[in-house]
Amino acid sequence: MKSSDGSHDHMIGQLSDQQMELLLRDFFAIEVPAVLPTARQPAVQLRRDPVDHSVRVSRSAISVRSGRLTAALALAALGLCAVLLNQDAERVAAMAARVNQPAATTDSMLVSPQGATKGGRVPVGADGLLLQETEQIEVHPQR
Amino acid sequence: MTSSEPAGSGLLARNEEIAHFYRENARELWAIFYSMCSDPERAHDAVQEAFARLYDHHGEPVRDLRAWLLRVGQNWLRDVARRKSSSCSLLPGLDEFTGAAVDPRQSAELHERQLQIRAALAELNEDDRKVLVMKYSMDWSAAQIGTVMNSSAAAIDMRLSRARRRLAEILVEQGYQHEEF
Repeated sequence: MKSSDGSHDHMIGQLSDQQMELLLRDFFAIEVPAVLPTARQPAVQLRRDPVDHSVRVSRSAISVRSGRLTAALALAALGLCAVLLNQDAERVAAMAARVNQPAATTDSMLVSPQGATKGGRVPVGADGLLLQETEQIEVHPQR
Repeated sequence: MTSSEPAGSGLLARNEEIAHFYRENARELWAIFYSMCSDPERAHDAVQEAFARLYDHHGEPVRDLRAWLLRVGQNWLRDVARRKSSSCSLLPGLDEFTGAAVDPRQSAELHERQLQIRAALAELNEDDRKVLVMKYSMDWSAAQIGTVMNSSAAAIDMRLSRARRRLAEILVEQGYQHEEF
C-alpha cells in the first residue's frame, strides 16, 4: 500500500507515515551528537599567541642588548684608534727630532766643509789629504 | 570574516569569531556531512577537521565561511572514503561503551535498528537524504530547508513526503519490522 498524499494515517508498506515520523525522530535523537563540543583548536594554535608574544618580547630585548653591545664596541674601537694614533704621532715626532738633530762635530768628514769648490782642491783631514770635488763623474765602458 | 591577521589580539579575536561561528553552525554542518556519509562519528570528525583547518588557515581571507567549511569537510570525507578500503576501522559500537549498566539485548537491538536505518538512508539519493536529515536532526521547517537547498517550502514538503515513503520502502525491502522496538 503506497501513500501519495503524505497524510499521517496512510500506510507505507508496513509502516505508516506516522510511524516513519516517529522512527526518524527516534533515530536522529540517538544519531545526532547531543551537544557538539566546542571546536578543537589545533594545539599549535593554542600556543601560538603566547609564543608569539614571548618571541616579540625577547626579540626587543635582544635588539636593545645588541644595540648597547654595538655602542660599547664602537667606543672601544675609537679608544684603540686614539691610542694607536697617539703612539704613531709620538714615534713620528721622535723620528723627526732624530733627523733634524745636527751631526756630532767630533766625527771626521770626508767632504769639504766649505761645500762646492768648483774644481778646487781642498785639504781634508789632519794628514793633508786633498779632496777634489767634481761636477760630474764620467764613466767609460771597459774594453 | 573578511580579514584574518594572525597576530596578538587580532588572532584572539579571530579565534573568538571562529568559536562563535562554530556554536552557531556546527550542527547544520554536521547534518550536511551526515547526509553525505551516513556516519554520525565521521560527520562529526568532518566538522572538527573543517574548523581545525580554518584555525590554521592564514592565507587569503575567507569570503564565505560556510561555503569554505563545507568544501573542506566534503573534501575530507572524500579522502576518508578513498582510504577506507585500505585502512582498518574502529569496532562498531565500541565508542558507545560507557560502562553504564544497560541491558545487553536491548542495547544490541537498538544498535541493530540504528544500523538498519542508516543503511536505508544511504540508499536514498543525496537530496532526499539531506531533507530528512535537516528536518529530523535539526528540526528545521520546510522554509528553512528551502533556503539552504534553493527551493520553495512547498517543494521541500513534497520532497520530505517522498523521501519518507522511499525510506519506508527500502526498510521493508531490507526486512525491517517496526514491532522490533
